[in-house]
Amino acid sequence: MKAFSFDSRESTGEPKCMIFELRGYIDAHTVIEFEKAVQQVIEGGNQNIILDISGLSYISSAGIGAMMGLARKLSANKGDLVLLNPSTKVFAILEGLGFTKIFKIASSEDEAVEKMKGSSG
Amino acid sequence: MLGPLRQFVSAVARTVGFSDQQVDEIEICVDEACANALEHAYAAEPYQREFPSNDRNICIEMAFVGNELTVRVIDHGRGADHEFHQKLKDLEQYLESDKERFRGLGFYLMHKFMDQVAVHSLPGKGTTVELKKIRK
Repeated sequence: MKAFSFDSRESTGEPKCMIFELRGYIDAHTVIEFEKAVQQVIEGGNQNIILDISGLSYISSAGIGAMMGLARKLSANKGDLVLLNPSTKVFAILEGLGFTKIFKIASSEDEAVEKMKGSSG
Repeated sequence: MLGPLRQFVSAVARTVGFSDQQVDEIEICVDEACANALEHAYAAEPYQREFPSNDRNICIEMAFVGNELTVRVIDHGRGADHEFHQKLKDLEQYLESDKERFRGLGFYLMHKFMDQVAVHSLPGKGTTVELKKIRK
């Protein structure tokens, strides 16, 4: 299994967003691949991103920091970031550090789309 | 390299009876200490994000005495002459500390998840990060 890999696709609901399905782990090494992937999407003009992190077995501070940076960039472009389905382990790390109060976290794709800015109308 | 290291540390912590959650907390803290050593101790410049696999050795010591696990992450790199490991007081301080790349979470995380964190560092000699966690 690769240390880190991902697939991406567009959502079917509104607002339109890119969904990244992340697999493996994000640590000080693999975070570079993650940052490159999302940077391309941002440069492509996408404002809303859902990170499906159900396939992430581990995340370090480097990964959390990269997601914070992504959220900040998207917010500056009037976009948004939602994390989808963190594993028990990853959720515990985020919760233990207080990041569950900072990131938007959803348990289904529909809920994630709903949580995007402006989706409630 | 960090992946196998995390597996090893987790296996040791699990073997001596830490709970799954505590094992995960130990794993990420040791990972952070090692990542810091690899990134900063041997970098030509601070925050250089390269990990050449030459002579950047780090040593990890683990000892379990009574109910307490001690992990030492030792490097022989550049060391530091400033309080780079100061504990962040809260998450807001971290979020405001570096709006570009959001660095500096590693030691905040260690202080949050471990019972004791100590850093001994000498310029030009290296750094030892000592992490302690009590089994509950």
